[in-house]
Amino acid sequence: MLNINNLTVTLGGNKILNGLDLSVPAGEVHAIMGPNGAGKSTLSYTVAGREDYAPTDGDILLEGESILDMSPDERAAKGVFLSFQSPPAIPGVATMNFIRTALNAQRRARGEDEMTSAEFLKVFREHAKTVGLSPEKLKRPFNDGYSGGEKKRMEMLQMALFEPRFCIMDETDSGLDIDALRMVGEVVNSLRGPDRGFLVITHYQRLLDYVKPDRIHVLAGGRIVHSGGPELARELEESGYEQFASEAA
Amino acid sequence: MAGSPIPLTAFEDRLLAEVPDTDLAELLRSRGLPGRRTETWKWSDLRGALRDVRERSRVYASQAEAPISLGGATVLTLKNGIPQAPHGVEPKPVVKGGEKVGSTYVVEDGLVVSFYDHGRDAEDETLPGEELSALAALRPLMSVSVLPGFTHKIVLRRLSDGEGTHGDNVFVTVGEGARATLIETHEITGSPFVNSRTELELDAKSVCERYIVQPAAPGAVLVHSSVLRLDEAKDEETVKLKQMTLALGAQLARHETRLTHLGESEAKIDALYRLSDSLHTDITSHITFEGEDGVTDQLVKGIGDGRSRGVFQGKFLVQRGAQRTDAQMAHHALLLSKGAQINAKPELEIYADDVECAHGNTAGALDTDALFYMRQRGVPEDEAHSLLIDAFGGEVLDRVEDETVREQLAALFGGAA
Ligand SMILES: Nc1ncnc2c1ncn2[C@@H]1O[C@H](COP(=O)(O)OP(=O)(O)O)[C@@H](O)[C@H]1O
Ligand SMILES: [Mg+2]
Repeated sequence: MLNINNLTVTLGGNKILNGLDLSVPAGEVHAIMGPNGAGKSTLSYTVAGREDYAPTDGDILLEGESILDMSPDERAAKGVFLSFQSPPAIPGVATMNFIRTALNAQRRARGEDEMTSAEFLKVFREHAKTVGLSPEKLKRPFNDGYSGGEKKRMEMLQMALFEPRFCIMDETDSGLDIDALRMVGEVVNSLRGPDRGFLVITHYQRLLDYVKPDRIHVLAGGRIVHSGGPELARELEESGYEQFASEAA
Repeated sequence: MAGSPIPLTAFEDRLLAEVPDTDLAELLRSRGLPGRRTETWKWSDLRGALRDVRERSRVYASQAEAPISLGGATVLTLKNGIPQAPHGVEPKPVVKGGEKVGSTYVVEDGLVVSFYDHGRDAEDETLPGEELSALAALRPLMSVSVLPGFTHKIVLRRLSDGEGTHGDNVFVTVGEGARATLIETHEITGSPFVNSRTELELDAKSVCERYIVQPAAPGAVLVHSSVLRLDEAKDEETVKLKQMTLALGAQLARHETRLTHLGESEAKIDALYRLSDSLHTDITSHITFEGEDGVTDQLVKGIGDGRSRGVFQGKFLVQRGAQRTDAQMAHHALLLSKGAQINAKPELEIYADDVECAHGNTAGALDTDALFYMRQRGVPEDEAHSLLIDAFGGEVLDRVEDETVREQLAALFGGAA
């Protein structure tokens, strides 16, 4: 489903990703683990199409089609969703208005009918309940005055609502309590299916207790240096990334 | 007058021929019109913009559709500076010393409009930096009075066209306990120089909402000076003024507000400007706290695109004895292009000790993190820009209480991209 070949990204004169290869078949959940500063967020930005993270080499294919020439919004309409590590607040922009604008923009781009406000309100409320965001909070401008945990809930609300084809979750679990973690697991598991893929970036085994990955990859030195089954997560938590970091050098 | 005279421009020569020989004339002769070398006009080079001779504007000959309307309002119109007689009301002559000096119209119960053939004696108004206001005060005077206790809505449309020059001189009083909503527009086509003046006196216990709306006028030079006086509280009721300027640029436009708190009174002096291409807007305000307990809360925001220039100059002058003054000033600018320029000068001058004064000033670009985030969610770039820009301006517009006015202002702001 998502194929990344020889991806090379240079930021501020440093090669952050250096010939990275990665394939996530449809229906699978892959996890990426790796030390701080390894380039995990860079990878997520590059896949999502952030302009200043454009690759200098390599390709990214979604269902066999290169998405490199697509703008971030075109990629979103194709079904690429990124749950941000640090989602921004957007003061002055009403939450529901923004999410509805985004949803309808995606639908327009795909040639689908836009959602009416009544239809939208119904699904929005459902998902808000699932992720545990109160109507009071949702009246505020987007992420305005939200705690870190609430922002992550907002990410999951949108992921559930947009029903994307390919989800990248960048440390969605960081800073979440057990209940919130369980909620994230629920959202992912409800979306999990044969046509959908996930790339879950995490430092911890605990999310993977809720979301059973098919494969785990270690990102170090700008490329995937090691891949394994679900058991790799526990191993990494115990012995750290050191052994693989040296493999990268 | 100190200093040796400077060579006057053709326009200044022409102007002086029409100015009575007073201190003002002397000032103009020695310094010329304010411009780059005048401290308070250094970012708005009026002199430079007005070098060439301009004839007096001819009769207004254009058609203009009002940019904003107000249900139930009395509409008064000035065409190239000339007040138009209100419809369907018979004038009464105003006689002074056996001579007719003007006409007066009772437009509605409690709303009186008068036209005078001559302006006010400007001699005592030639304060440094107020030349333009003083010049406008020489124009025939139009006075608008909301009588004590009445409530009125007024739209004052200033229509201008051609490439000549004209001015106007409007004096508005809101009587004791009266309530007024006053919308003033500057609807300018062509490339005239317009020197406009509003004097607004708010008597005790009165409440006034004032909006100044200036759609883009790329060819025009506009100076609009407002001189405002807020009376002190009476029976523990304070005067309240809420002013909001929406300025969308001109070749050169300056909206200058000079406000005096005589005592306890409340003012909002807000402005929102949005500029593209090579448009220019200057928002200058000078608030004087003369008596105790004056409150001003000022929020000015601006957006610059293209090669435009926005200017904000805000000054609070708290005089000795103006205790418990509460004065807040904020100016925030958003720059959408590399070529756009914002110049800002917030200033506090305080001679009383028990006061609360603060100012904040920022300028920055659109938040790239927010932009990328919105686009990642599927919002196309243009739409994401609009959402962020509307949110930025929305902070000022949200302070407008009247919903129909707010919506119209928002539409004008949104349409000025
Ligand atoms: N916009 C940028 N400009 C320059 N360097 C960057 C930028 N973004 C990230 N980096 C650098 O790239 C490296 C990888 O960062 P990041 O992808 O955030 O790592 P991770 O998410 O794995 O912790 C870090 O050294 C970081 O400082
Ligand atoms: Mg990261």
